[in-house]
Amino acid sequence: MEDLIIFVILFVSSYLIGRYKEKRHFADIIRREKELLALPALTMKQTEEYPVAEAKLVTGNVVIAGDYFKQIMASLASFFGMRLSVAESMMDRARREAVLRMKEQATGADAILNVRLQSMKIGQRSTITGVEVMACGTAIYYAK
Amino acid sequence: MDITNIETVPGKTITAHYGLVCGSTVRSKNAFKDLGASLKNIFGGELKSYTKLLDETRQEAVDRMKEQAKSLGANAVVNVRFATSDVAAGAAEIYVYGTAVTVR
Repeated sequence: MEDLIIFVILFVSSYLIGRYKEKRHFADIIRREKELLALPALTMKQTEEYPVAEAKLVTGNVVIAGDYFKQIMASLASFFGMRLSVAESMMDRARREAVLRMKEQATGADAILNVRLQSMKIGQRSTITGVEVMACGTAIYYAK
Repeated sequence: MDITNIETVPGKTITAHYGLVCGSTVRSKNAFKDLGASLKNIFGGELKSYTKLLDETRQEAVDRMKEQAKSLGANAVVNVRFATSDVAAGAAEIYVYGTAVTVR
């Protein structure tokens, strides 16, 4: 009985707190994405034929943990072979945050070329403990 | 030292190639474990200690690659790639490789 009470408390509180945190994080991501709209992150290797003054590698990484609610929902959904929407929002959040951090590192750059995203799983294979996403690209500065 | 993940260093010309250079670091995942991380695992959110650790690990791998390139007499590394692999249970390897070149 006590186990069940602890489970319910954890389940409900992790759902509420996790959802609140995720909402706040998404609001923050959208605000920063708007601010950094002037710096394009491109997946191509070439851009306009302007003389380039400087080029450097920029990276951004983030580790996002899944909450207790997400872990329960994911194990339920994967049992029935459903879409893991709880994991989708977590991945989306981590990727966008990584790209933003990469952009923030390239202060004053004119473009970021050849942007690559890669992710690594943190923790055990069976649960969605967390995910690490790394974004890297080449920031270029045009000669003024 | 110029490092890019495209085939050239924009604005400069490559004058010599020195071949593949790489750097790797293996970190155990148990070292990541702390109280904050396990608490965060209940409520979600960013694991700042993990983020910082992985960032430092990657930086260390890049530094090792730079050192190798420098010892060859190169002044830039182009086409840099990052890779990760599970070496053993609980340990991860971060691997960085690229082509050492001289640019002018």
